[in-house]
Amino acid sequence: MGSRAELGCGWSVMLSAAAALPGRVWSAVIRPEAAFDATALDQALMALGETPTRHEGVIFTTPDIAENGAVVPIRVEVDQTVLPNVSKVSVLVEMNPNPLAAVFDIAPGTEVYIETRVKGGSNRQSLCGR
Amino acid sequence: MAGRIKIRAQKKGELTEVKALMRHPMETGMRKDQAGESIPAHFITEVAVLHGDQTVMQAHWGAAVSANPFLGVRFQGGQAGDAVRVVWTDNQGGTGEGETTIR
Repeated sequence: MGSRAELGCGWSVMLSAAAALPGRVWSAVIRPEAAFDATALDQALMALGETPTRHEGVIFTTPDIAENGAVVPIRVEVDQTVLPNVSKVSVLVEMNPNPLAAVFDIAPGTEVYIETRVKGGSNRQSLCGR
Repeated sequence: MAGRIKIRAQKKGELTEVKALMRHPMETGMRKDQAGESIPAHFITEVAVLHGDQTVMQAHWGAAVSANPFLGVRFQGGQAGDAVRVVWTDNQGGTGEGETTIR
């Protein structure tokens, strides 16, 4: 990954919604289809209802150079002393055909710490957490 | 088609670290096979990590998550011996599930 942007996007009241549904595998959170279908970064962010702002406390780790664009390891951590109450992390890869790769809903008591691997069509990544 | 999940949950101080490896092609629907036919989209759309009956994390995924997806999360409050499950469903109605105990 040649360059990357880190954007935290404000944070909201998702925590209470998640806590209200104990024992459910799937909460009532609806898949943001329009955001997944979006073909441009700003379109995807708009569909997610996010206005990007840069925040301290978001730690985004990815290799400087990915050996294989089909398997790019990423790690998202949020320093909760700097940016508390993050309940959602969305991963967007700017140059992909559909930039939105994943949306993680994080329950209270779960660290904001996500490791996964994504496909990266080109060398730009961005990230949005709230 | 129920996919198997390799899953490990390990207690590290206050936190339980879960690592899961799912077997899934994660086809985008944009690739073609050797005959030039489009390979239909086939990817995991929803994933959840459960500690007992509590969901600690759930995610919506798109086709941009890599084939044979890896997922790592950390949560608080786990005790050795507790059950941890990872479940997924895909866009073709397939499901997968893996369970382990925290050690």
